[in-house]
Amino acid sequence: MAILACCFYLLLIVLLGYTLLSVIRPSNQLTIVQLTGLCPVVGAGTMGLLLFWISLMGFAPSRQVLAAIGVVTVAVLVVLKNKQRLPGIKLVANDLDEGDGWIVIPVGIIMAGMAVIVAGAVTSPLTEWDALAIWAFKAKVLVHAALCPTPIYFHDTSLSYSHLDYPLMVPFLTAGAYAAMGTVDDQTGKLVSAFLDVLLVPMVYLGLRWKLRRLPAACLSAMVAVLPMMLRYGGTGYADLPLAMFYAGSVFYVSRWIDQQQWKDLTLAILFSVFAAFTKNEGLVLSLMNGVVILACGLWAARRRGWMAATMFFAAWLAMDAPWLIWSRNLPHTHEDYGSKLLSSQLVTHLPRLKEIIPAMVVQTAEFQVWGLFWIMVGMLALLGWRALARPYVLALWILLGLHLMSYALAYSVTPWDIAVLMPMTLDRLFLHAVPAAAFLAGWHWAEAGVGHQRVGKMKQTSTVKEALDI
Amino acid sequence: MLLALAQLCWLQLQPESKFHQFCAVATESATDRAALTEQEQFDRIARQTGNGNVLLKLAGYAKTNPVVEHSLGYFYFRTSYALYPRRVYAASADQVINDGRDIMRIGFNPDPQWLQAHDVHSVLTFGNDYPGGETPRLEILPPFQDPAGTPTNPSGGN
Repeated sequence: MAILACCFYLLLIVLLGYTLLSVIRPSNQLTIVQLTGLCPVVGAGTMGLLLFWISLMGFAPSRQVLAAIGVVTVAVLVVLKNKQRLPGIKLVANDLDEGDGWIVIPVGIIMAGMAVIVAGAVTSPLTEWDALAIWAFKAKVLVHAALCPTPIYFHDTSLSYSHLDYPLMVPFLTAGAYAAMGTVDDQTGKLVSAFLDVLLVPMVYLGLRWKLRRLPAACLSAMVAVLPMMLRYGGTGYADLPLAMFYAGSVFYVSRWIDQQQWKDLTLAILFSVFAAFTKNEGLVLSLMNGVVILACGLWAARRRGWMAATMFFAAWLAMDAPWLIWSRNLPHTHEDYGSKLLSSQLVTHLPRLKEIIPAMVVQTAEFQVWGLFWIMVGMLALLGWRALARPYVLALWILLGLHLMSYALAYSVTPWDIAVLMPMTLDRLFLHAVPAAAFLAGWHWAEAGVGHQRVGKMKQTSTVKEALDI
Repeated sequence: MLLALAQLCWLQLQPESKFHQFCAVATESATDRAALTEQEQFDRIARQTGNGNVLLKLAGYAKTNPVVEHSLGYFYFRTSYALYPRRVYAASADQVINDGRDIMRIGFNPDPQWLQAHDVHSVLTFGNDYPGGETPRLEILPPFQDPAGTPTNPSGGN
C-alpha cells in the first residue's frame, strides 16, 4: 500500500511537470524522452519548491496539501486543453536514421543501470552517513512540522552534524512521499531518491540529442548510466545526483539560449538554476555562474536581448529563491561555512593549498575504477571536434565547467577538514556534479567533428520530422 | 567511445561492482539476511527505548579512546534519526556536535532535574571497560518523583 501511494505521488510529480511544460511549451510535441525525462525533472523541482513555500505558510507536507496541488494541476490542465495549448505526445519516431536499430543496445544498458539503481534503493535500508544524517533526517523533521514557526531542530547545534543550513529540495521531495504514504517509511521513501537519480540519464540524452543523432547520443547516455559513480550513489538518498540532474538542465538550456535566443529556453534555464540552488549549496554557486555567463555572452554580443535576459535571469532567480535565502539567513552554520570563507581573506591566504588540490583533481579523472575512460574520452572528443570551440554555446559551457571545477578547488582550499582525508572521501561525488556538462561537451564536439551530427538536409525535408527532432 | 562504453560495462562485471553487490544481496540465504547489520542493531535499540527522550552516556574507555569516535558518531546520528521527533541528548542544545569526537569532548552528564525537565526516560550507555566492547546498553529510568513522592509524567523536551 505504501509503495502504491509513493507511486501516485511520483505520478503527481510527472503531471505537475507536464502542466508546467505545457505552459512554457519548449516544443509543440513532447517526445517519449521528454515525457519520461523532462516532465518528471521539472515536476520534481516544482514540487520541492511548492512544498517549501506551502510549509512556510504553516502547512507541513500532508495528503491534503498534495491533494490541493493535484486539484490545481488538473484544473490548469483542463484550462490548457480547452485553449488547445496542451503539447501533443509523440510516441513513435518517424525520422529514424540508418543504423538506429542498434539503439536497442545502449537503451538496454541504460535500462539495466536504472534497474540496478531502483532495485538497490527499494531493497536495502538507508545506510549511508550523509544520506541518513543530513537528507533523510531533514525529511523526517519537515513531515512532522511546518517551517512556520521554525522547528527547534533548525537551531539545535547539538544536531549540527546534520548541517542545519543545507537547502531543502531533496528533504521536501522525500517528505512529500512520506505524506503520501501516511508514514515515515524510509526504505520505500528511497524510491524517490532512485526516481530523482535515474532522471539524470534522460536529461543527458536530451542535451546530447540536440546536436547528435540518436545512436551516438544514446551511447554517450549509456556511458553515464553505467558509470560506477552513478551506480554507487544512485538510489542511496544523497542529493548529489539530483543536483547533477537539475544542473544538467540548467547548463543545457543556458547553452540553447546562447545559441538560439529563444525565451522558452531562458525560462527553463532559470527554472533549473533555481532548482539546483535549492538542492545543495554548490547548486547556489553554480546557478549564479549560469547567470554570469548569460550576462557575459550578452555583453560580448552587445545585444540588448542579452542584457534583458541577464536581468530577467537574476530577477526571477532572486524572486524564487528569496524565501529560502530569507528564511535560512539566521540558521547556524557549521564550522565549514564555505560561503563566508570564500568571501573572506582566507581565500587568498589558503591559495597555496591549490598546489595539492589541483593535481588531486586531475588524478581523479584518471581513476579507472571510478570513472572508467569517461574523462579521457571527453578530452579526446574535444580534441577531435576542436572546431566547436568557435561556437559561443560550446565556449560558454567550457567556461561554466571551468568555473565549476575552480569553485570546488577553492572550497577545498578553505575547508577546516584535513584535505588529505576529505578529498578522497568527497571528490568523486563532486565530480559527479560535472558529469552532465562534460558529457554535453563530448557530444557537441563530436557532432562538430562530423561523426555524430544530425543530417540537416534530411531534417528539413518535412515539418513532421522537424517537430520530432525539436527537443 | 564504444571502447569506453565497453570498459564501463566490463567494470560492472567485476566482483566489487555495484551490480555484483546487488546480485549477491538478491541471492543471499535466509540465514545471512537474518544476521543483523550494525544499523539494524542500533535501530532495534532505539525502538526499545519506549516513550520519552533518551540520554546518551559514555562509559569506560569510550570516554577517551579515539578509536570509538567513528562508531560513536554513527550511533548518535542513527539513533537521533530513528527516534525523531523524540530526542537523543548527547549535549545541551547550544553545544555543537559535528562528530563522535565532539561527543567525547563534551562528556555530557546532566543532573536529574535536567533529565526531568527534558523528559528523558532512558539512558543509552555507549562503551564499557572491555576493549572492543562498545555495544550500547539501554537503561530505562525509574519514573520521576515529584516533591510529594508520586510519579510524574513530565512533558519537557521536544
